[in-house]
Amino acid sequence: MNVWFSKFANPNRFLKVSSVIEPWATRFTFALFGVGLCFSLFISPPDYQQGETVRIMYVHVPSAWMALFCYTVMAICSGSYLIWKHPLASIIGKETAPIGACFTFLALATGSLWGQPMWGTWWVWDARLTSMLVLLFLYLGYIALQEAFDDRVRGSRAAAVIALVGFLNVPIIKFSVDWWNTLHQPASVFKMDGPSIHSSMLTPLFLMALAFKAYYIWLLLVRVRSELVAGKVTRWKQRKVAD
Amino acid sequence: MGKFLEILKRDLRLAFHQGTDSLIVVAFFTLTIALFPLGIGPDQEILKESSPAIIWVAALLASILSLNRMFETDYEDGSLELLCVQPITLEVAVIAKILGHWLTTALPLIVISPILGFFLNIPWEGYLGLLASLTLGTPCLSLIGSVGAALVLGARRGTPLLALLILPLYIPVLIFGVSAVDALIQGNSPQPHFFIIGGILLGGLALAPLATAAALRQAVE
Amino acid sequence: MATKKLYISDSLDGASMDLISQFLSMGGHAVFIWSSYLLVFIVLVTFIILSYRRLRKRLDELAEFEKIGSGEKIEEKI
Repeated sequence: MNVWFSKFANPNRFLKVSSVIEPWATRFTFALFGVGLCFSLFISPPDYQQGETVRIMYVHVPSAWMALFCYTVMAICSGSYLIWKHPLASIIGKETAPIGACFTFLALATGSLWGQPMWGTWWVWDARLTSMLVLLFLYLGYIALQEAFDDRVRGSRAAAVIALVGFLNVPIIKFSVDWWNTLHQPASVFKMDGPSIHSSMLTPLFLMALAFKAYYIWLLLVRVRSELVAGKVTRWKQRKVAD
Repeated sequence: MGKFLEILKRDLRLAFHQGTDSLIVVAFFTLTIALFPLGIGPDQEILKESSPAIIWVAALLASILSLNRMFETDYEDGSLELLCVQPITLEVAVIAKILGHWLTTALPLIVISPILGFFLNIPWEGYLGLLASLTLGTPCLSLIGSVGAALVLGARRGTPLLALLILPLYIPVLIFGVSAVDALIQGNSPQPHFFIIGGILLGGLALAPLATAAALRQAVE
Repeated sequence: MATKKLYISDSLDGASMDLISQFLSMGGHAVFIWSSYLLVFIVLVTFIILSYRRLRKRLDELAEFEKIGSGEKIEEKI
């Protein structure tokens, strides 16, 4: 435990940088959500095929993008943690996981809410939904493994390995689920190829995607700060015990 | 190479002496398969259609059940630490352990699977495909599973955690294993399916021992 | 003057009410669209609130330790 924190390169430097970025991330989150919601709810036209339900896309697709983005961040952090043993990378990976799991859940839930008017059922074993479900389990496994050890360093390292293994497997799982889906595609199910994207839809989509990203940075910085403070508290407690 | 065979022989000898490990896995496999007709109903047509899937799902679960034995006893009695300092690359030693595990737990499943296929009314064309896909697919399961088995050493709630970690990674093997059998039953060429499982096997053979060895080093540190 | 004012605001109200109800109904799929936006909103807001609350708790804890710690140091110096 002590080794873990003494190895800590410089949490103060991180806190200094974070204190500059954090207010801006907050501002950008609110501004981008404000503009993005205006575009996605009012300005953008309804789709000629899907009608107004296409508006669900503006929260569904950014959620799904963030779900993949967060897993990529986790894998990069895990790799750098295993190679350079920098604890900050481990903390960022660890704090990204619940956020990614949350976005995966949102992508699934909004996908289901989109599926009901489109397919006439809440859940279809559609390739994209199924891959997202698997991704959710990958996140849960990472979080559970991290928490399963009394020794925190061991938990972080084990979780880093499974994040990398999962990251390598994501494309294989995606490919196999796509294959499986084409094999079992029932003809009667409404096939959703995704709405043909007009530029009028791209604007709200990208605005919302940026808003989600700004929100992620804001939330991540708060959580990493919280984790660093918790580390300091633990050191105080240990000093107290030592006394 | 001598060391490799030594580790393999030791594992096989232990498995034969205790004997219960393989038996438990086979019993679990059979029982799981017997549960499906009880749940679905004795309709021969439905069972026939879903028999490859049932056998494969049962094989996946049996594999998970047997995985925690791969390194756990060695971890507890300290022989894992010896394995890490022996004059043999840990990655190679890991392959020996995985091979030993596959021979003692997966091979009995493959041997017994035609009998269970018989109970599930699997069409005749499917038997060869079932045997071939299990023979190619179960080593993938052991390889992928070894990473998880090494990672959960010393963890709380090891077995359910192992299932949560590894079952999602088994999905590609399940999909292509079942579709290979289905292709044969429907009279299509199963070749692409087998190629992909073979690809997964080669990839797993190259990467899984690396990850498993890394995880084992973390566990004994 | 008063009647004219009432007349304008009345017509505005009627038109805007129409627009609002049309907007809220979302072409008959209101439930799905609004509930997905609401769900995203609730989840994101809850997450950030919980994270801030956790940070606040830990900062308080740290402040307490540091207060005790500095007190001890002063005592030692004396």
